[in-house]
Amino acid sequence: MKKLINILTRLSRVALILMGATFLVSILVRQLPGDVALLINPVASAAERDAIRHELGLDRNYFSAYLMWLSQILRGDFGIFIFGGKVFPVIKSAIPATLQLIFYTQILALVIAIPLGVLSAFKQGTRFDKLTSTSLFSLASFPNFGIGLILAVVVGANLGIVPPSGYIRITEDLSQHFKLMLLPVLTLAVGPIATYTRLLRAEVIATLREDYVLLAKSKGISDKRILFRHVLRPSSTTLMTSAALSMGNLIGGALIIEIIFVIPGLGTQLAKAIGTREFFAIQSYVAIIAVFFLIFNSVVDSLINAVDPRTRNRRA
Amino acid sequence: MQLTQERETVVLKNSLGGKIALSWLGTIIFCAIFGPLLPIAGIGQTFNDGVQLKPFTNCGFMGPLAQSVSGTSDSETSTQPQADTSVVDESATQDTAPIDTESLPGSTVAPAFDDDGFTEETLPPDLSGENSVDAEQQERDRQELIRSLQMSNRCFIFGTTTEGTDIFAALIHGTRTSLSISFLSVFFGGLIGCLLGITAAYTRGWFDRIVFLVFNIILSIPTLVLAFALIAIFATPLRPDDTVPDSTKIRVLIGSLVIILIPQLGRIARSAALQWINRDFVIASRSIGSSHISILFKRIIPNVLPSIFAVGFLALGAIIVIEGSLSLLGVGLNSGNSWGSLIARNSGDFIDYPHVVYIPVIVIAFTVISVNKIGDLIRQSLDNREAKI
Repeated sequence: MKKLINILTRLSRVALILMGATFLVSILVRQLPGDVALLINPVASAAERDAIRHELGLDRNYFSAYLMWLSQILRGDFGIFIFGGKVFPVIKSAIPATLQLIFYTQILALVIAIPLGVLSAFKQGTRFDKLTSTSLFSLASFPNFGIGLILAVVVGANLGIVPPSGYIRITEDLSQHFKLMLLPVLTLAVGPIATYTRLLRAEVIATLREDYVLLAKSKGISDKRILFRHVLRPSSTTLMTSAALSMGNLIGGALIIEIIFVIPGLGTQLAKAIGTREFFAIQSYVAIIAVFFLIFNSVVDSLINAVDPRTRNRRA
Repeated sequence: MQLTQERETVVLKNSLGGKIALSWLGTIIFCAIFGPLLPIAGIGQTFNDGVQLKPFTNCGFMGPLAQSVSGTSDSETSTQPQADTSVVDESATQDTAPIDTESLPGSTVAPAFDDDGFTEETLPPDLSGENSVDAEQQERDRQELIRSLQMSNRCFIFGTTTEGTDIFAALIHGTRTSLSISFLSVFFGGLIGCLLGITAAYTRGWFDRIVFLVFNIILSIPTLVLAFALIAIFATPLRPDDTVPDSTKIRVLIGSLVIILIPQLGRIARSAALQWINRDFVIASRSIGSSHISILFKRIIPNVLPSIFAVGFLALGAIIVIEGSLSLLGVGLNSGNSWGSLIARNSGDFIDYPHVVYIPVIVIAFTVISVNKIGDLIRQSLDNREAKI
């Protein structure tokens, strides 16, 4: 019972934040300069313009316009493009690309960061450790778009190992899909790799001081086995938390990467919508992004609470 | 397995990285203050206008070239009047394709100059007899330009962009814009965020709830997406063909970034303040009857500030990167007047002339590494202090 109430309060808080965020966006979008009615029909008379505005709900005040938008969204209607077409099909085709980008990035980052973190903790203070942490620190400080541009040109265009940009659906051509995804994923993964390695290193160093590690060592168990069987799992909670929470942040990072590598994800669509002032599309895209962001963060938060009892009843 | 002590006492002045970071930061702050005053390649005048980028104005060693260029320009406009209008538009100059040095066999294609920039106007190969001196002159100009586009030469140490802007000068002039955007937005964001966060933590109750909710709402939209939307909304011209002046764009940029930074820094301030509010010395101070103001300013804020500084330095770096990203996305500055816009403006030429992007990216990376290092060292010394307590 208590658990149920807990979950309900959590959900209601998420819903409240979500409504706040979408309301904020709906107010912001209304500030875009220019008359939508004139954009739709440049030669409309005053009466026609009023009719168009009424149809789109632009003559309402902020709150009732927001409620109108909300009721539409809840019925699965994501609005229309001013210059024709519905927004929903675009969102439907854009989401997989963005999600794939984020998931691959997460996997690549973990695959690289776990061995690096464990090893640099084990070799703490040596040249390897210092080199790893310094180079990761510098790489992570490199602007994301800079890495993207350089990779696209050097690896993609000049060396010709993989195509520099583009996107192919996974169902169409599997190998080409992964080839195209390689560079954007690599670019996006640089930041997370540095963060995860650093976190894991600190945790592993702390765990290595535990008595049971000393016992395992005195029993003659090999270093490799100690590190990956005895030490890694208890040290990985912070890493998992951080990895899960960074899912949300990756959505923002994916925006610019998508545009550099011409991936038709949500970021590209958002940029296009802002460029052509598609009011309703912008509102829906930002709402979708916020929903994903919040869902990732809150689901992950609850999952961690369920997995690790120590974090329960902790208020962030 | 080494079990050495994990925390060494690393303070800013004792670490080599910290020293390097501080000196780099000092250098770019120096550039930001005095950069626009330096007479580098004479580009200062045009850069201060913000919009126009003129090629080869009075470069120290290349004065004769600059004159010959303007001379060419005159003869050019007389033979090809339409060349004059085609480049006035900002976007048009921005979109000019890179000049392909390989496909420029002397007489057939020659670059043309005019007052606003450098374009790829094709000249008729056989100009009439009286123009033969001009053609020779153009050929020399072309060679000169191609040479200046190389990574470095006797006049431009980092070469020039295809528009003829000296990259080194552009970087130094861009320092002021880039740094003032990031410093001002972090300063105001930190100030307002701290005020809200610390007050919320101190008063608790409904004020805390509301502030925390608003913070969470803003945080639920990814940073770049929110910045993108805010700037697109407040810095979009009424008609698509208009351009927004740089000064307006910078104001909007700073305003949007402040809005983004308030919850980020405010959240840190709030949680840091919560740690200190119930310490014994604060309770003691309250029990001897200190006013709320004096408790806040004498007991809590001095303790919260270091952690704000640590995060603030990280935010500085992040803002410089965000500024570049926004320019690249097409909503930020695009006049070449800041580091980010220098990259955005020249990213189209990247394949043919990689240095036009490499150099600004490396400068940005150096700056971000320095501020991150400083923030990191502040955080480490903070951790050490905490561990001692």
